[in-house]
Amino acid sequence: MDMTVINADDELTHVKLRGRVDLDTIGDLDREFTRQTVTRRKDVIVDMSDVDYMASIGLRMLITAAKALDKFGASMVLLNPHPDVEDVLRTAGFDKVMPIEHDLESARDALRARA
Amino acid sequence: MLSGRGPERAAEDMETKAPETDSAQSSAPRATVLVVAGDPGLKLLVSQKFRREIRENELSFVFADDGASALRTLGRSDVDVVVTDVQLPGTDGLTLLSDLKKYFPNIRSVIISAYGDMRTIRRALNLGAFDFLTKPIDLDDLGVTILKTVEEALALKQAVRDRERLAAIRQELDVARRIQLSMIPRTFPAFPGKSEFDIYGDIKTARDVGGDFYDFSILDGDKLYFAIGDASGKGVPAALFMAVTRTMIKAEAVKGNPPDRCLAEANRILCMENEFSMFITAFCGILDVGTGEVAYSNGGHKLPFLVRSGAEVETVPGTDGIALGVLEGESLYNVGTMKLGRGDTIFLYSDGVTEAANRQLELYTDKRLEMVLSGIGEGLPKDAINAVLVDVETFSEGVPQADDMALLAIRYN
Repeated sequence: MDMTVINADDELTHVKLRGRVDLDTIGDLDREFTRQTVTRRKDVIVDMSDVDYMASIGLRMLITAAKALDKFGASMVLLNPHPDVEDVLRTAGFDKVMPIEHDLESARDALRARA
Repeated sequence: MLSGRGPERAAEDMETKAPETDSAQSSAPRATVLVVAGDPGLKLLVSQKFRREIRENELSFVFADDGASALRTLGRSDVDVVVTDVQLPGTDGLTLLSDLKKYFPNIRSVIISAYGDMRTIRRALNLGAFDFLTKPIDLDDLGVTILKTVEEALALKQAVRDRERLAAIRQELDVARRIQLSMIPRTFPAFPGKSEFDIYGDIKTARDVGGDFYDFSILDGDKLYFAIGDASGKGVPAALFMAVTRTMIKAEAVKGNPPDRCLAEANRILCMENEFSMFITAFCGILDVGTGEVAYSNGGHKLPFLVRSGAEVETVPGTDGIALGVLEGESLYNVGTMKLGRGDTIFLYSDGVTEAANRQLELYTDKRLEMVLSGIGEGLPKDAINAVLVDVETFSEGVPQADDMALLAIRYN
């Protein structure tokens, strides 16, 4: 499980998660993710296309960050999750807190719409 | 302030370096060696050889003149290694070795014997001595042997500590499992006097027990309340979060509230104090036993299947609610309704079932579950659940269960 920052400018933080996110693999990712996203207080796009599996601990990480960002008037959008992961997110109703989009342009639009 | 501390420290160090007062040192040394010898020469030898290690608090040495005082010392201080002469006043070193084996099995020992006395050395090794030294003692040999034995003893100590930690984790998981199981009705048949419906539930806890639950009870004599849920995370926190939620939802149902109110109220309270962002998915419903009407509401849980008596399998329509504990607000939960005909079964489950993995890391999936359910017809809820559990087991090819599985089935008669 790892994370890379694709872009971090005045308007947006764009990060990419990779691998399986569960209790065994989350390690320090939680803290690192918060540091790179919440502390910047900008809108966030999380590229999920390389996440194979996400357990509830991973969902909690995303939700916690999205709620914290919301307090700063910023939003989080999930980009292109694997169908299984998307199903988990939609089942839990988390797309209400973090919209799910399948291309970068719609992700940016979704963020503008929430601004 | 900082610079003023230097000399104080140094003074402290001076004190603790006074010979033979190792036990008075302010911080514990990395390892403690007990030297047992009638002959005072060995004490001197050791103190010289390990001067640096003693000064740097790497090693600390304590001394005893005979076997009896050695055992007393072992009883009151934390010793890692014992170095003992074979020849001691009173009981000999070999007796001390067998006492060590019996009472202090985690201590490593080194025996000192006369040069060439292989018989004694062999006996000592048989009694569990880790290594030996021969007289006259070679200083380098003494150094290497003791340091090597200390490393071995510390590794052993760490292994014991790890094992204890693991035991503590297991114990915690055991507590979690007990919380979980105590929350769940497990006596079947649950309502022997009720012929209008059959109900059966089962829960298979994973090694890292989580927070799944199912629940049911009779309200007002002609209504059956039922619920299923899955708290995020593992262990005691998840189990407690589940226990609280289960009780809150049920309490609202007992008050006569509709299912959406039950979830909304539980959610409101869960959101109030939830600094760790825990959440729980939950589905609850109320079956009118007389008419077969079901009112239900979903909070982010897997939607149940409805197995019609003709074996047709449908997914219960969603009500668009988010998992509990995530969002505050009004009208987050809605109510849905359906009507059960005679022989229809509603089948509730947690994602531990559909996300059970096999060796190729493929998941069991909703689809496969639906297929098994299409074969149960008007069978008893117990048989339906067992058929699913057997199929999940076949599918997972012995891969250990990663998540709890909760299953609840109700057939309307």
